[in-house]
Amino acid sequence: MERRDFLKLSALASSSLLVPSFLKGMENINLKGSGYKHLVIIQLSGGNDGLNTVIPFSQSEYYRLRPSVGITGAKVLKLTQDLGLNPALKGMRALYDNSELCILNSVGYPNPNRSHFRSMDIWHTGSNSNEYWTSGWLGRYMDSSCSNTYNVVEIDKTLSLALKGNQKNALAFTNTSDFYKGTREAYMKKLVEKASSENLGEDNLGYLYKTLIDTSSSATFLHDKTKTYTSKQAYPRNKLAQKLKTSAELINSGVETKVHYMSHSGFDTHAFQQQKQGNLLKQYDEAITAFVKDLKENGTFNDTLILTFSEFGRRVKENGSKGTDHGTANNLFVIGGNLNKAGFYNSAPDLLSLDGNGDLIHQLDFRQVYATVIEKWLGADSKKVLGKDFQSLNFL
Amino acid sequence: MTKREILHLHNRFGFGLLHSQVEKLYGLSNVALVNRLIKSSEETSQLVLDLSYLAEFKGRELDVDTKKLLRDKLKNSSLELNHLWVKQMVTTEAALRERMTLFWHGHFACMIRNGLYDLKQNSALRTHALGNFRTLLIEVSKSAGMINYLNTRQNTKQAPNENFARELMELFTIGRDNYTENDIKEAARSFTGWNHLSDGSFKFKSKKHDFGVKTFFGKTGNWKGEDIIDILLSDRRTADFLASKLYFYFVSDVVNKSHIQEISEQLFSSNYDILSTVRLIMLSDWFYTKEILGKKIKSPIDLIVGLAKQCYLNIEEKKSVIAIQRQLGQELLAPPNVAGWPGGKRWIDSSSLLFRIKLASMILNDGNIAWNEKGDMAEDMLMMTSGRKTKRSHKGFKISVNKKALENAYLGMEIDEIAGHLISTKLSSSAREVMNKSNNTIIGKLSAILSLPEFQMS
Repeated sequence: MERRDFLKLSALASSSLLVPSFLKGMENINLKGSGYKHLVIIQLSGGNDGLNTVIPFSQSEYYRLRPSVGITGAKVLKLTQDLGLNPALKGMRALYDNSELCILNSVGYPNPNRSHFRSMDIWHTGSNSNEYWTSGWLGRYMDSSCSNTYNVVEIDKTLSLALKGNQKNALAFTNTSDFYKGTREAYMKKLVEKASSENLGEDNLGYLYKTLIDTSSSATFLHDKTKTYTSKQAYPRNKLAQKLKTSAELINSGVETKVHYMSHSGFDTHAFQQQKQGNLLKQYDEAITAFVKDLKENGTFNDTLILTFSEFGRRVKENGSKGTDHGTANNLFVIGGNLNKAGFYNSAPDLLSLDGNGDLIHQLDFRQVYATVIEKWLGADSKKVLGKDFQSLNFL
Repeated sequence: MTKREILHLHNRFGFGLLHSQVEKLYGLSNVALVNRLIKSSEETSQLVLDLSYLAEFKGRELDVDTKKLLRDKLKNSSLELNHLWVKQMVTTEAALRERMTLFWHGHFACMIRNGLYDLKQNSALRTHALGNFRTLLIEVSKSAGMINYLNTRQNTKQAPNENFARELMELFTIGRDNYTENDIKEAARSFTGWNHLSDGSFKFKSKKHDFGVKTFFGKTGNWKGEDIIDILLSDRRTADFLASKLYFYFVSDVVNKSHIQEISEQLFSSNYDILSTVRLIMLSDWFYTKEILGKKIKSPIDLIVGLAKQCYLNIEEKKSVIAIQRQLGQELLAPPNVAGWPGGKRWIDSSSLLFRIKLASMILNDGNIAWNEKGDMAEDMLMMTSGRKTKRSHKGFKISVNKKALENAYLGMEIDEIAGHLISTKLSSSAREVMNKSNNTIIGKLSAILSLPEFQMS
């Protein structure tokens, strides 16, 4: 139904010539499962300090290495005898108590890179740390399994590498209404309406016109699908919450946006970390709480999986400015209604066995997490997307 | 040469021409135009960055806070260098050298965020941009920027680090799949001891160097770094690899094996002389065919520099100039990784295309360009003043236009004539129809022309 609407729109917008060229190259699409599930990914940019997010309060080494940055035992929201949450994460504790949160400890990759840019690049592409790839893992998922551009979206002004494929790119917008307006300005509208076969050749210019028409059709489609829905849920005013609100509108309107990507920034806490990180985590916690509530009220929570990661964790030992420097492995949150395994997926990092740099050693490869969601949630072939087999995990 | 061919040559190997300049060059032959381009780039005009504050830090023990202050100042200098570089691209007479410097920056992509090291590396790229590739490669490999970026300074006899050795082969010379893991190990051993001093000058630390025998590409000897480079250059596949990169960047995204072979042959037979190689491209018939003219997608830098030049933009504000680069996905001195910017169709996605199409008319009509930075990290703040971070504005930025100069430049010109100058590709009848509906002021005409997808082509 949706797909037909979309094609109709494309056809209207572009003189039906466009449709056949869009359908080309779709022979390889693997529609195994073709479920209607949503994956929401939240990137904590800047390197969130995992050890002050999930606190190993039973290890005296934690307090020895972090005399001023460490969070005192009394404040920790204790989940087990060894681990507890940052005091800002009250909503996360509720999810944990409901078995709707799975925490994966020490997720990383071999030969970790401590540069933001390089490490983010590795997380986005899914490459090894000595490889340089130009496409992102979700972009390649699109290449292999998505028929519509709007199947994968980033709620932001610009598109991250993670969502750029070899053949296809995801859409990026901050909300459907602005996105729509942006493509309906008189001049833009005319360009799209007047475009004919002359403009849609196989060369680079044809590619620009096709991208423009596709963007315009997608914006119209998303706008039409979501305009009648208004969320009853009150969201906090912070930016992440507003992004999640857009995300909930898409999900609750029944649009087949399979992947939603967004980031929450400012985690590079080299100085005065406790307050800065506390504020950011509080925003995150409140935003997620509102989002989950919204989805539950609309009966869509069980169709949604929320993944939260950061490009690296931070050094175990604090620095001289009441902050922490760049580190390696980190914890990762998976939130959902039907988790196969909730609670802690694996044991806490052992602060007595660190690498030569004083950083955590990874227990799980992030690409195992990717493989798991690709196979078990999105129903696609993870080897096709990641280039090789990674053993999937059983949190799903 | 036709006016379109003259523009094509200068768009691809320079940063375009003003309408008045095209008129002056019209009538000259291909050889005369190429010789003129080469002649104007004989001198090297270095970027001049004020780093006098370094003196205060010199020769004294620095505590943690002072070190951080110095680091912040150097980061800020790196952003300043970016700004200076863009301004030079807009105004330079030595366009060919400027273009080649940018090409080599993409080839030897480093992100250092240290104004001193950035400046030194940029100077090496600039000095040897049209010289000999061997010299260029060695100078860049010995630059503090590269030594930091690819961990050459951590590469010691006791603990070899293969990062530089691997990229030297994969990205700078012979290309992937043409060497073994063992070649990487042996090359890494040969580069042990390459280091630099705090002023950025190269320092060979013989105590860290592995003087043992190495076998690289089947050749055995007491190889040093330079020997490895010579062995790589003596392999024809290195010339092939560089030729295909030159072809992709200057000519076309669509591979043409025989043209690439021609370039490779020239490069190899001239012992990697860059000038004669680019001269060959500029003088080939195939460079001016309809398969090539106007068929490349402009890089963000091409787009920004072109707009600034053709529309007389005031680009004195560093923040705006860098913000646009980030929004469009190409920030000088900050490539995505050591492989550089992938280019071609990869510049384009829905959001970058909408931004590209709207950019010119937003600027010309005094619009505010909405901007908020993604992934903001303390390391990478856009605005810094004297090393202290200031609060970033989330309101966006503006770029003003020198309207008087703009009016003068296009005075009395019909929209078709302006479009003929600014658009590199043939306009379809529909594009022409949309464009012609604009209002008749200079700003109106320009906005219409520059908002066409055709303006994105070079």
